[in-house]
Amino acid sequence: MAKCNIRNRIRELRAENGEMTQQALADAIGVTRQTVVAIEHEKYSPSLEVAFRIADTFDVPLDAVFRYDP
Amino acid sequence: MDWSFQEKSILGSLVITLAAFGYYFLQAFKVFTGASSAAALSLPFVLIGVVAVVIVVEIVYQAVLAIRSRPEGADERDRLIEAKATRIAYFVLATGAVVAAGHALLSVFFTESVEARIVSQPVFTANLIIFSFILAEVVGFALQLYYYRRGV
Repeated sequence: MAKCNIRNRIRELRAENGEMTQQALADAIGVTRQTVVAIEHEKYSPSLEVAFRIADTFDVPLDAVFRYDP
Repeated sequence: MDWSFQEKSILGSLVITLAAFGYYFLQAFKVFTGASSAAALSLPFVLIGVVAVVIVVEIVYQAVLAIRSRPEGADERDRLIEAKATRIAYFVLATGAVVAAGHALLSVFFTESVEARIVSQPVFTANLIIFSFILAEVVGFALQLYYYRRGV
């Protein structure tokens, strides 16, 4: 698997936001559900724009969603 | 296993390409190893038939898939996966083109045996190029599936 150094709390944030579904998040940020799954499982690092959209959807700062783990 | 619309689409294209062109190159292999110039005449018609079958089966498969699955537009991850796979597939195609060009240029040095005359024919060089193109397609499809499954 490709090494991904970006950790995220998307699963927790979805749970904290009324058990938001992956599809609902995908629709909100303009990607496919499979891409949300890949981001959650840290198989894909999203672009900066999508990362900001995710943070915006949960109404939290970017570093509350993602952190760099070298 | 949860397969996305894109993965099913690519998998279908991979299977169709392998089956159809696998048949074609089996016929081509028989022609070139059989050392029969007459049989080589049928190859272009086999190729045209195979291409026609691929077009029809692809249209039917992709239409059925679109009706049965929920088609999703390509997003940034899909485009990145396609770009990475295409970059490697390009090198496969370029390598094949260089080999075919080298073969064509060096065929002048081949001996005048029957076997040598057959592999020095333009139809053989053309088949080398077609093989490179199909191999690049297969590598591209397979790599896309790999990146979808294993991460990118």
